[in-house]
Amino acid sequence: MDRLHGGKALLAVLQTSLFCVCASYGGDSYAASTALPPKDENGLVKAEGYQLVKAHCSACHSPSLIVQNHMRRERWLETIRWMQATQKLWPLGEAEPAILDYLETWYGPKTQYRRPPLPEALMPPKTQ
Amino acid sequence: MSKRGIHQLYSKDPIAADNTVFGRTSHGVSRRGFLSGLKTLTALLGAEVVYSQFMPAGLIPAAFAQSDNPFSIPGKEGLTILNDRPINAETPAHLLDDRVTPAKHFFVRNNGLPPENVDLSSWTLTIEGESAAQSKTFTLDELKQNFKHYTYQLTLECGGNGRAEFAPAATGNQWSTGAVGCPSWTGVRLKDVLSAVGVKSDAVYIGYYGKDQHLSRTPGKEAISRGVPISKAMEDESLIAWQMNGEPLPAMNGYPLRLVFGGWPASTSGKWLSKIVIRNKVHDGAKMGGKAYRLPCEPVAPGTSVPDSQMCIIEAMPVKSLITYPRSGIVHKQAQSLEVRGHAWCGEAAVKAVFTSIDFGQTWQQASLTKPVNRHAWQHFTSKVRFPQKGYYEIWARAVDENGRSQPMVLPGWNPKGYLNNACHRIALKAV
Repeated sequence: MDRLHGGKALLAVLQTSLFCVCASYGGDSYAASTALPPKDENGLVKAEGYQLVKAHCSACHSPSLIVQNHMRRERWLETIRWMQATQKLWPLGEAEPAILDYLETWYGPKTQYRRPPLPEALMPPKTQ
Repeated sequence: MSKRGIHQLYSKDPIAADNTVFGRTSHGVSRRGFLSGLKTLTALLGAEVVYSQFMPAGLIPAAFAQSDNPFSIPGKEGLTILNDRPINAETPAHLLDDRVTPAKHFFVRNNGLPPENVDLSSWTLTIEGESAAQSKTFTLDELKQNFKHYTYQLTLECGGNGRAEFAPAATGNQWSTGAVGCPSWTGVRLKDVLSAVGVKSDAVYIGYYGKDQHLSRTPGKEAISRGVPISKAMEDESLIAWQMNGEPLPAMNGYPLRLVFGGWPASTSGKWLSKIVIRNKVHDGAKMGGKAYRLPCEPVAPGTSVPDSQMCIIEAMPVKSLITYPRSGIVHKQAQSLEVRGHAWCGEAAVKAVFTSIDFGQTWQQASLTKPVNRHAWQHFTSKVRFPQKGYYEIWARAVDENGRSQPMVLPGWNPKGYLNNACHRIALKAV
């Protein structure tokens, strides 16, 4: 079941971020064919999860800090953990997965480079 | 599910794509069956994969590929398939290590559907056109008997080689580095044949027609019909060829007859050649106009929309090089030096020097470089590299031509169709 879930999640990622011609929007990781939701006065995308992000993430810093960043879900989570460990961010509880969904969807990794990193298939093994 | 998406994923590294998409690993030796991932695939398909034990690794399950069936290309080995209709496949850099590219490792770039039944006895080549003194038709035997034979090692590179790195992305097959090769070609000089027919003084261009069909199979609609200026056609090394490396041309590379113009976009070297027209103007066949094989006449900012009237035909290909040994991704003992090798080429001039860097272009060391065996043949470089400490390295190669033009380290001039990316080649390794 894990595998199946993983497979489906990956396929969803294929559709939205890695393999389409992407529009530059927040992160440039969202399909051009999808209607683009509006942004708020800070440039933060107003879509599902927006209120949660605003409530939890803008008490200490401006949302413009979110807008400038683009990373994988795991690294967004690392950033949250770092803020919790050192910056007095409170536990996010049930909001955490929804916030991560939002960040992953709208502020995922950049996909356009003047010179991209070498593809995974050409990289040396990570463990050795 | 994105059909294009899954094709792109599989085109990068089919075995890795198996694992990424379906959690699939296969038997290491036979590269068949499923060590893991069968359940996932079965669940996603909603059906069992019958004969799953025989399913080769790295093939997109047909149900996901929709109408595009898994397949292999006869006579080719190790190529990465980018597209199966029309068939397009490129060669991983490490499989281009031979000084003379073997036929099995020479890339495939088709614009249409190759002829299915080739009859050598009835195959003919006709020369005609406004600037031909007459119309004349040759059988294959007549071509071989009437004209002197020449053999040259000639570099052919697709104009779109390197397109995958364009940002904003350019449309077309997403070639990485492998749409290039330099086999030995045998045939007759185009200029000998043209001269035998008679070239009028107002000739400016030649165009070709081949027996490949348009993808739509519309009768009379050309898949591609390009050409070169008469000056290029009249070069000694411009061939009407029937052999690659002493053997008949591979089916996917134009069997039984093709043009070979070393150093120019390979699309000028018409395959399945049946007719050459000597034109009194720039040839206007399929893929001579619009955005095809043309660049903005004036450089543009990335992403600019350029009208067709402002596009100019690509001529000679720029200076470029490829590291063919070691294979990218190796683990190397830091204490040992490493001999890096590869090829360098340039569409017009020869390559004067090749440099390699292990520090992202901060310092460069000059490689030793051979002279070309003939004009338009690629040259070979070797460089002994030492790694100052353990860790991750990229080896970059940069060639400089006789005119002092060097490969850039980033994507050069953006253009709508993603041509002429000659950014320096990079491979990665880990020193331990």
